[in-house]
Amino acid sequence: MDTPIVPEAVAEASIAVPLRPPGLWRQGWYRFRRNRGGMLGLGLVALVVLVALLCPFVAPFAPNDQSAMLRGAARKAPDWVHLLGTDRNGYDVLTRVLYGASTALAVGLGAMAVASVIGVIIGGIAGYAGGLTDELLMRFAEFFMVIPVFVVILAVVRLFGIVVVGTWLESIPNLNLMTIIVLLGCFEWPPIARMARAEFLRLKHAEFVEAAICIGTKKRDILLRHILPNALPSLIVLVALGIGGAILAETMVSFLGFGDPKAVSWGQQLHFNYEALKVAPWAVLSPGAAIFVTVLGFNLLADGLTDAFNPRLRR
Amino acid sequence: MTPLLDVADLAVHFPVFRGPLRRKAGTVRAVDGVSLQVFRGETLALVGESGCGKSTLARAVLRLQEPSAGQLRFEGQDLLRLDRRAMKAARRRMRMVFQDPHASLNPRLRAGEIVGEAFDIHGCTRRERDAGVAELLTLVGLGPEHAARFPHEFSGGQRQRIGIARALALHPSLVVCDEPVSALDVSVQAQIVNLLMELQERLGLSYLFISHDLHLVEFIADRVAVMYLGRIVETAPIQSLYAAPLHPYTQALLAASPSIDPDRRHQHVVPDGEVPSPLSPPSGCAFHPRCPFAIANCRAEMPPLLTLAPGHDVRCWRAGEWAAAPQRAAIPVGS
Amino acid sequence: MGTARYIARRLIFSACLILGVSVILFAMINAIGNPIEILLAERPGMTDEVIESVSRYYGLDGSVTDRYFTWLWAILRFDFGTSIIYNQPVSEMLVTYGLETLKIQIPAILIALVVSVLISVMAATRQYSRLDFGVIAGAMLGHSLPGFFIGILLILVFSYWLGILPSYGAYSTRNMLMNSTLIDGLWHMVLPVGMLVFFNTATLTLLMRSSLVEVLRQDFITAARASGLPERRVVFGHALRNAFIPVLTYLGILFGVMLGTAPVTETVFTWPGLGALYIMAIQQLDYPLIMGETMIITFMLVGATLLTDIAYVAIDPRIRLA
Repeated sequence: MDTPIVPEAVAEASIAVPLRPPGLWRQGWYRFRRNRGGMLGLGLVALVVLVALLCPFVAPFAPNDQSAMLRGAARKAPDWVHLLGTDRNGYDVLTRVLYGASTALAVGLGAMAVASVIGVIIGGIAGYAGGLTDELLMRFAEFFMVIPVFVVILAVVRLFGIVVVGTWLESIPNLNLMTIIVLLGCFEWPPIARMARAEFLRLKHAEFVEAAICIGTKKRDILLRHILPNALPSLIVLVALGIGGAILAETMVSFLGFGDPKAVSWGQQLHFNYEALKVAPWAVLSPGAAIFVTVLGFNLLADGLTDAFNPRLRR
Repeated sequence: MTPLLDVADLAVHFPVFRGPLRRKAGTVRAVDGVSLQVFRGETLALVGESGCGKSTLARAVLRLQEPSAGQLRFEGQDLLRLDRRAMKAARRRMRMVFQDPHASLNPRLRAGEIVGEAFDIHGCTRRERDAGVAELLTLVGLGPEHAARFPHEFSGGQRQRIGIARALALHPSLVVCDEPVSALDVSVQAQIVNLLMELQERLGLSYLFISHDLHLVEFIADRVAVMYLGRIVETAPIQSLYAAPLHPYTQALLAASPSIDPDRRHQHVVPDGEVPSPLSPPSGCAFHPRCPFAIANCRAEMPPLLTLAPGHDVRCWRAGEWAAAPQRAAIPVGS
Repeated sequence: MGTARYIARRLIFSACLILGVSVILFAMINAIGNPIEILLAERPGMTDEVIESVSRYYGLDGSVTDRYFTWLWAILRFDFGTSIIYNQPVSEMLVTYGLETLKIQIPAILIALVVSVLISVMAATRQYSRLDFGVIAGAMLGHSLPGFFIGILLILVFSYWLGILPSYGAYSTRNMLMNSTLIDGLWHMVLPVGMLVFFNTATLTLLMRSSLVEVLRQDFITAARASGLPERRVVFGHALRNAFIPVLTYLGILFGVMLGTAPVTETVFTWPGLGALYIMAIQQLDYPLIMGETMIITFMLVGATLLTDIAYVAIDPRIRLA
């Protein structure tokens, strides 16, 4: 029982106590749930995540099982053994598609993790410090916006691949894929930095931040405890969009033959089977469809999140 | 008696930049040479129209905004000379209650975390903090069980109670209240004002109470300072200000605020025109373009702050006339 | 007068951007490793003499800063050096291949613009109708389809199954279609342009529709309708012009995306453009070609942004002060 000292508060409190009004996240979820596209996106993303986690259990073959080649069953059309057929290297297409999901997610999440850290740090400093620092950092971000990212990544991946030969770096597993992830992250941060800057700029004059300064809160706590959590909703939308974009970029790098030969990725599948498009289209169409579903999922999810967190922005 | 807070000639100027090269185009003198004192246990109300600089002054007092010039003494210490450590210690003793209870509470923190933050910062143990939070929440009329809730689960009035509890953590001596009730429903305003007055009595607090509502001020304040365009134009004990306002601006403010007192009702002296831009304030007395009693001298020279009665200071060339004939002070009817 | 100064400012800023990018690029490429070592890593069995003469020939001796300024000075004169694999001046190759790339990209963006305007007008004037939802859903799907996957589907359907359009190259090597170079060229352009149109239309329609819906709700549109203007004049004369402004920024970005992913497009269709040339260059480690291509693509990107900025002023006079 609450026994307030000031009697007026009783009436006030008794109204609010029984029904707990929804919080920011919960309100967002209510709005999100009503967005059919967003829910579809969430479903697709959940499907991809599930496949990535469960692929060792549900995949019919081992990912590097080329035995079909020996049986002369490469490039075989879909049948009951190979539900999506086999490709020109004798791999089971379905197995490779399922395993590709984890690579795709690793790329998307990894790249956006790197991009978010860089973006939030740069954008946060720019927005909070303001003045000349802000100006310089934002000009710096602008340089990164006009660099033809994809083209540069191709070159760097290729050149880096030569330089590491014979060094300790070579022992890192999936080095090539790591390089792609880090590079994508290093180039995709400017949009996040811009958003982070705008949010930090808006929030640094918020009354609750001034209240925190008033009681003597340290600058680090102001930034991490008061400003950053309130900037997250806007940033999450960009991250969701970016994951789809990063996955697509990795696919394209691999499709052009600069991917990680050791990784099982959809882009690699496309790369190895594109020449056999005419005879074995299923080996190209299946990974292509997988990319489509994943990117669509993240795009729809981002769309739904925009609606949920910034309801005024749309329609 | 030395004042708890002694503000002397405080100025806050904002440079205004224009154009692509960010050339300095002028200066907004938001606060321009303000002196005031808050004594222990009293409430000084700072009154003025929006944009007169009263909120900037409040923020400068708490060093949320660095003053451009002037002196700021709090509990005998020169606030503007303190290093970070001493400033942090001083922040234990002075606090602020903000205007908008929806914006002043971090939506991501629970009420207990908001109120308890000061305890964490100033090195209290977890147990001390939890006990302190419970005590403070009870003190402001909520209960310890509210500590686990988020701001959105409270009504506006309850949120302002949390804001007050936060301000009272670790026993401050001065609380700056920046229009603490103007964002609340009228029915809740009285509750919060009562709470503030009750707390003052119980804890021996001093308030610098900022408001535009003269009726509220009459209810809560011991002394009033009226501000116009960055300057104090009149300071007076509450009775003498309401009985015999000496500055035409104060008179106009009193006349403009709706009153149920039939004797006051006809005397509408709504100042003509807009508040001038603080970027280019009028020459002389800043109020002269809107003042019905302006004389030539008002345009030429800024009047000094004259003490016409004990504790009653006015910045007006003709204040002597009003003081001599208090009856005709507020009769600009029909002008 | 304001316009001229605005354009001059944008020009100067664009020049700074290109300069900055050139520094970042050069620094990055050199940070990866010594160019001459990388160059020779996959060409074993060279004597030291050869290595030395090669590095002198390509100006790869000397300090990094020296090389940067030599390179920058050469670029300013539109001299990108000599391609290692083709042994031709890079600048000439950039022009030849660049024209092939623009040949499919510029028509694609123009067609996409017209198509998306028509579709979004149909959708936005019937907001919340079945057609509108169909357009939104279709555009969202198309927007998420990877461009190269569209290309693959087009080839599969029109070249392999129906057999009516060529799947690779810009010209027939032997029998020209109807013995005309022009018709043959156009015939080869259909699929690549079709793929780019599909890709751009989806994105532009999404943007244009929401922008148009926003504008159509504003008071000046109601006023125009109330004054008795025919609906077509209201939409095409008043609304579209205003709805176009946010789309314009995106046009520059879209062109950048198309240019940046040209390697993929041109690999799918074996199109002899900048992208295919670039793949060749990095496979063979042709330094002058890699640097030249990257710079020219950056240059085109910045140019496209500049053009949209200027077009902004032309469409919306309020922007001028920005």
